[in-house]
Amino acid sequence: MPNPGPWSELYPDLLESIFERLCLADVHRAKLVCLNWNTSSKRSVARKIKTPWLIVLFVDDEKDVYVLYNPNEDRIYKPVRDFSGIRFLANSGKWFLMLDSGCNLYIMDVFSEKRIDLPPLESLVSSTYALKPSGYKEYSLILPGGSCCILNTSYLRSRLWVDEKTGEFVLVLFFDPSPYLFYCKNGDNHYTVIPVDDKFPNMLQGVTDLVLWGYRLYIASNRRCVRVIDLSGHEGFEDVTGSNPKPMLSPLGEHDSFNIVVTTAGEVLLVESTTVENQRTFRIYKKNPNADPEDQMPHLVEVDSLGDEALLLDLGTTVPSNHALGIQPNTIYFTRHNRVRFRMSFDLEICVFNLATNTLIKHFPHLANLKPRDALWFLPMT
Amino acid sequence: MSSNKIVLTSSDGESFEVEEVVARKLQIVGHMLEDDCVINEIPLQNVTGDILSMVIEYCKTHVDEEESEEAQTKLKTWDEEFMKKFDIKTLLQIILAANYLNVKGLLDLVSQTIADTIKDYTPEQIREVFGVENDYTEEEEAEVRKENAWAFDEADTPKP
Repeated sequence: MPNPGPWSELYPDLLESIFERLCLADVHRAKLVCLNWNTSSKRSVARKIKTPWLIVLFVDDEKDVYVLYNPNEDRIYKPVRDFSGIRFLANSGKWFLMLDSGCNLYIMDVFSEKRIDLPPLESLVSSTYALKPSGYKEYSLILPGGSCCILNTSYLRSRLWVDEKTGEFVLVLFFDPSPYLFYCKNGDNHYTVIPVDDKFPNMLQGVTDLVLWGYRLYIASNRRCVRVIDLSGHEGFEDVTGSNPKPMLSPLGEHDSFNIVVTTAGEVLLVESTTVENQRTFRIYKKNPNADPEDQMPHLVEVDSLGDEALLLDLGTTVPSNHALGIQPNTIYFTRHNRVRFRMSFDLEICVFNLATNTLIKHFPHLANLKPRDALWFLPMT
Repeated sequence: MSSNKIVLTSSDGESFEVEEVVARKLQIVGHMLEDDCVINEIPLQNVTGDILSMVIEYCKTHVDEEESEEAQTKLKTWDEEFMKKFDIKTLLQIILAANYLNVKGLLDLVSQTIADTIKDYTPEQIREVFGVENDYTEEEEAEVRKENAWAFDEADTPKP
């Protein structure tokens, strides 16, 4: 050590020890210094984006502004590009589906410049349906028989799934509350309709929640049956719901604060919250594996623990916990219910709920000043 | 607590007699003492006398870390003043020494000091201040810059 090597040759462990103390933007700058710093930055960068972040919408000077927030750093990242007039519709990892004021749809990696343009909505291919722009932010959907319904892009809801490794993606769009879903995959130059209208049995009509789990689309119907659609095929989609689907009705009776969630093992859960005296608590249910097959309305059974998983309710999926990164097991990352349906009003409550201790963690100091209007948990990298 | 004295010798032959509790803050010494408890002179090949004396100064100050808020604040102020003594070149030697001698607190402190320095600079300025040569090819650098062209940047949030 009498003659230490230069800074550029500092051991990776020591560079990491330094980079860990920098915010993500600073690490991005520091890695440009030299090749060795770049190599050593990779683990620090990964660690910073392998925990749930928030994208937060608030109103500044009468304009909608989106910012990113990393709770671990308690740091806010502001957009450096002009996102005025752009809406963030859905996300998968670091990919966000955006709609601009010209009704162009694209997906963008929020951590780089990468952007994938999507076919315009009017590319819908169907022998019976057609979609045409019909005014400012409006489309008309022409139905079989010539009748027509007006769809407003303000009520466009969506789910996105991107496979980070292969670049495959699928997105599902839904004009709330119309009975038609549209989907499109990478390589497609058009959208395809998935009807949920009155041609279906009562139990399966309508949409109250959507989850995309890879190529599998889970649709919670108005009567809380879960339809499962396989979108992986080249020749259109396949309904794999199975015969005689049973509704997932809340044991607490009809109420609106619920979501469906698909776990990493592929099990469908019903997640509800109730607020009593300003205190929100969550309940989780699953289908009773021992239910009588003849019972048309079997009761759900309560799930006490998510085990070693954390639940990202905004995405409708679970992820393995990771103690080193601070993703606690048996927790729910929550912002609000009703992301998909019915133009419902909602109470935004950004928090992490620990099911084991029945407590809310709500300490996000720098967020408090923003007065968020909406927010969404997302996991930039898994 | 034993008041045993241990002699630490640097690579350039400088010797420091310190109390065992201070020497044990250097985990490398702690491990040696566990392996063989009769030694009282320890040669440290990878650190020069001037740097070792700084590490010992840090360890002496941190030898009994009190929990009280007042003591913690006092230590923090001392740490800040201590770090101000060093230029970039010396910080490099200190981080290497803290790593070699395995002094966790000092490693954290010096890492934070270096991070705070990096924070304020552009890549070009970091290269200049730290004396690092840019070994990217033009294409490589352009590629990495593209990765960095993310849509968000740090907002002005007050430092904790």
